[in-house]
Amino acid sequence: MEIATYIATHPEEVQAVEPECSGRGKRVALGSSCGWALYLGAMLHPATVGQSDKDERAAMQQAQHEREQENGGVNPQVSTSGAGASKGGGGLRYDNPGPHDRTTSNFAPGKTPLPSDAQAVFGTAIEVPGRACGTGQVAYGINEKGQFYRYMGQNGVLHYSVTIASNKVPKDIRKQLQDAFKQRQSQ
Amino acid sequence: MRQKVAFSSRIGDRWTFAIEFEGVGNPPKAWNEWWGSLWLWIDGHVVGCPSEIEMVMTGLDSLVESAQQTRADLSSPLQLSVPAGEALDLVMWARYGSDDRAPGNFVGDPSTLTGYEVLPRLTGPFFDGWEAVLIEAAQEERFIFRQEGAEVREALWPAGTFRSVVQRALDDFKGFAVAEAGSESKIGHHRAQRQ
Repeated sequence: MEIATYIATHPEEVQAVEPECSGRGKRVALGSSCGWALYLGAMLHPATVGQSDKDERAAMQQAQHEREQENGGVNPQVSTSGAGASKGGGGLRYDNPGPHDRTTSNFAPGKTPLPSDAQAVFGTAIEVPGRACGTGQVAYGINEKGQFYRYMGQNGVLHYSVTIASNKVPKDIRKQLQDAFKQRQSQ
Repeated sequence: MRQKVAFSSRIGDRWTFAIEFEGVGNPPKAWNEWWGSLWLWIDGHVVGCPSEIEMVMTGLDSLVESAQQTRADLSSPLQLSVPAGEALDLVMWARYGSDDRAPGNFVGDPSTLTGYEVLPRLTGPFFDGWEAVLIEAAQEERFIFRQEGAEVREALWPAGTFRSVVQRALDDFKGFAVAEAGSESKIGHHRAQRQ
């Protein structure tokens, strides 16, 4: 189900689907927007509750469509300057749903206040590759002070989650971000 | 901080292992975008941050990924007998460590250790500050966990307990999320379920 959902919601990213016949799912090669080989293996969700896969896909596409219709064809809550866009366009998008933003009615007390550069940092954030399942995405970015931001979301739309300690960022991603940070600093 | 709870459920036995979640606020555009809370029960203790609000599926996705990992392999670098603190330290080092040298006497490929990680993995704010690993064997599985700064604890369950409860929680959440997202009129009539 999740493979179908991901492909349905990211048709532009899927270049080829090659069955591996391992009995553990399929390997999906993603396009330039992701730049990662994503293993969507071991789909263990045989049971669908409430709706069929087709219905769920349709519901997600409808959600996207409604967002766009509400704003004259443009999704009002997202920016195309996100992590995916920085990798070639058509990828993940940034959203500010409000829980971290004191200026919105959705603000949740106790949440880390939204940094003013959250969207800008997202532009160079790195998505966690190789998720085995699900419809969610997680990405990490680094700001101009060397602080790490975590972004999370569903259906390709991510929001700022927290400013996180460096030792809480997976080390392969931390190294990539720190290398990029040093490169920017030296320019 | 009052939240409008649309639905809630606890799956499993909280005196062994259970997952509890809530969906809060207004229905989202897609079922997997419900915001809410997610936490675990281990031997009667709460594990996680029940006061955190986030998209519930971001946490559930990560738990499902953990449940899919195969850890019962005989060639597995972490056997059931490894001391709890050592197991936790090794896995956290493999995923997050900045030191090239492994703690303890581990010699091998660090990437073989990361599959044991359950928390924090990619669970997000629901489990920030928590660490947990799952070591499976033929008959039983060992859940080792700690909150930052606190002592290591562990629980021993029949093999397959974690996977089973996670799968049921996912199915249950999906059932509520799809139903509630599709029927805004139901919001306000708090639905709760215990299994």
